[in-house]
Amino acid sequence: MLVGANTLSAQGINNVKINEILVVNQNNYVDDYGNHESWIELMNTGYENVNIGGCYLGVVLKDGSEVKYYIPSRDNRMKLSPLSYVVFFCEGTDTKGAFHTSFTLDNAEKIIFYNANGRDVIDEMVITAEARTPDVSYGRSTNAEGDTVIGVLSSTTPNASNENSITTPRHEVFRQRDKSGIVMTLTAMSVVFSALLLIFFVLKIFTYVMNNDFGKEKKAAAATAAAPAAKKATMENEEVVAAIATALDFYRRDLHDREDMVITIQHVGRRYSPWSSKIHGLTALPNKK
Amino acid sequence: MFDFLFSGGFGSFIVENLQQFWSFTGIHNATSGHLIMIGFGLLFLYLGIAKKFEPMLLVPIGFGILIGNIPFSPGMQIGIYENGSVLNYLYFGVVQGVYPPLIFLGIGAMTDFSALLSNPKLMTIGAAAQFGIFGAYIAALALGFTAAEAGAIGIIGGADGPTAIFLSSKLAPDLMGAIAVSAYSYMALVPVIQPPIMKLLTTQKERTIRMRPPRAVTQREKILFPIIGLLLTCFLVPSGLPLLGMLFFGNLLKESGVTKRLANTASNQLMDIVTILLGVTVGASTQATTFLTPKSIMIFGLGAASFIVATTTGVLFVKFLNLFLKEGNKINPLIGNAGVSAVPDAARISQEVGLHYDRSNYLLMHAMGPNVAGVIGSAVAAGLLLGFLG
Repeated sequence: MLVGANTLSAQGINNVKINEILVVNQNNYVDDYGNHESWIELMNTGYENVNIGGCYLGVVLKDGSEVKYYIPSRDNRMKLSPLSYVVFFCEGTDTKGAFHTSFTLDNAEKIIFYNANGRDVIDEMVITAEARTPDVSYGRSTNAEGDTVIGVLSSTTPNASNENSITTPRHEVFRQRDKSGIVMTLTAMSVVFSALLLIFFVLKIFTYVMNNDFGKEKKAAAATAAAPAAKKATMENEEVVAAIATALDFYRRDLHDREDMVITIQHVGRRYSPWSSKIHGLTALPNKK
Repeated sequence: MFDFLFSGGFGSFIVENLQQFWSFTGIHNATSGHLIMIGFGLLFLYLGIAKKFEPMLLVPIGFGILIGNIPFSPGMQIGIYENGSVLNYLYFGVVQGVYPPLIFLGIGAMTDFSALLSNPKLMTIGAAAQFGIFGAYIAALALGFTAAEAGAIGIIGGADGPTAIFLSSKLAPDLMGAIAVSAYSYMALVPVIQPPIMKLLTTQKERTIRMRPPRAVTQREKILFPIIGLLLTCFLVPSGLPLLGMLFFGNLLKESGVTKRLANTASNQLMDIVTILLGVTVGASTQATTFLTPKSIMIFGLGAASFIVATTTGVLFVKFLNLFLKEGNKINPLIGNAGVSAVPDAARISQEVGLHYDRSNYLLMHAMGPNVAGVIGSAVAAGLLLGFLG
């Protein structure tokens, strides 16, 4: 179970992104000590819980050197629920708690979020000149085409989505473009027909391939000649079995009182499975008759 | 002798207690809405038990309606909509769409796709009958429902209870009770709704068309079908994955021949357990306070319309197909109604109506083709609606 939890976390960690940064904080968001510090906001963009504890948040400085901050692993607050945020204040101290990094952004050129091994880069953001505008935050947003772009944001939104415009629900957007529902009907019916027709054609091809001997007819004919009784058509065999079963049923009805019943014929086969093997002694083989 | 009982406020304390108890009783809290809904519950039980209309569905739902409409004062953590109540926990499976895929697993493990495999062109009938869904969608939009609500209402026309619950839980959770009850009610009323339409749209000659007996389908084809079906449909409509994935998985368990025990569990015990939980909780979700609204009445009307459209388009599509088929290969239009996915009731209707006009013309196996195609078609349609509107 522990392995499973780690695997989940390892998969989900790639969904954590550097969402927003405020490099020069003069009169903006204050930390829990009442100070204006530059900050980095991470977002879990995925749909599963992620634990960022044990990962690293780092910066590449102008001289090329790197400073990494180890995110405490035994801190429950580092578990990010889907589409949630966490803000780290960058004031270069180790004494103010888990959300205060050991580096500042003053001389940083790039911010990097690393995996727990401290080497694999999960996400990075270059600090451009415009990102250094006082009290203006920089980060991810969605443009008119629906693509994610990185740039100056219209407002600072720590611990919240960078999209501050009121979004119309998808179904309402769809309704505005298709008020009568005709487009939906035509689109959906074409897809339903296409899906079923696709299965139809693929099945046709498979049936053709499976029922075609492709030159093996002669061999098959020879084999049939050698053992004619053993190679009867399946359908024929089924009918014979059904006839025998019905005859037996009529015979047995004469021996007993009349009862409501349905004749069912069930193929009984013994298939080997280690789960039901006597050798392993787990369960008895079913259908011993 | 009993003066002590009424001295020192002791008597008034008892009276006060009794008054408090009275305020908790269902009799005190009953409204006309509760009584109407209990009437519906009793009607469902009557139809299920006395008339044998889909008893497996109507009895749990009918009893669930009774459970959900026992009046009580709120805050006691007993109602289905009250957080922490037992019924609320059971209802979780409906709200989060857990039960429908499990039902589909059982349906897959019970369904024999041989009829479809032996005559794949019947698959198109299953697609044509999905017009019912979109007919209701258009009508719901015209009546002022939002697109998401219209999509959830439209799926009633798919005649598939689990699909209706799954989609409405995603698109319009507040309408789920009405949609689910409407879907299951009309599924139970298939023997009443469909035959008149089938008779109206067909001629005597068409009703007596004899179809070729289906060819024998090999085991290999049966095994490959769920795998091919899953890959093709879900690559096209990934949003249908929860339903289609479980449907085809259940069918593979059945057809592979090596997982008989799992197939038996999926189609018997598991299916029964989920049916009980689904039926009772859906029934209980129809509390008068949330259910008796003008919207619910409109949903019932739209549901009926969608069933009628689905049956009509299914039958007419077969007649259209027959224009292109040679004599001897023609399809009896009485199996067109089976394109809705009410398995196997719709196919049984084809059989019964067919036998009414020709005592030796057995249409059941032919009708099972479009019937199971309807299951796939309605799940694909649900996936599409979810993809566009979700």
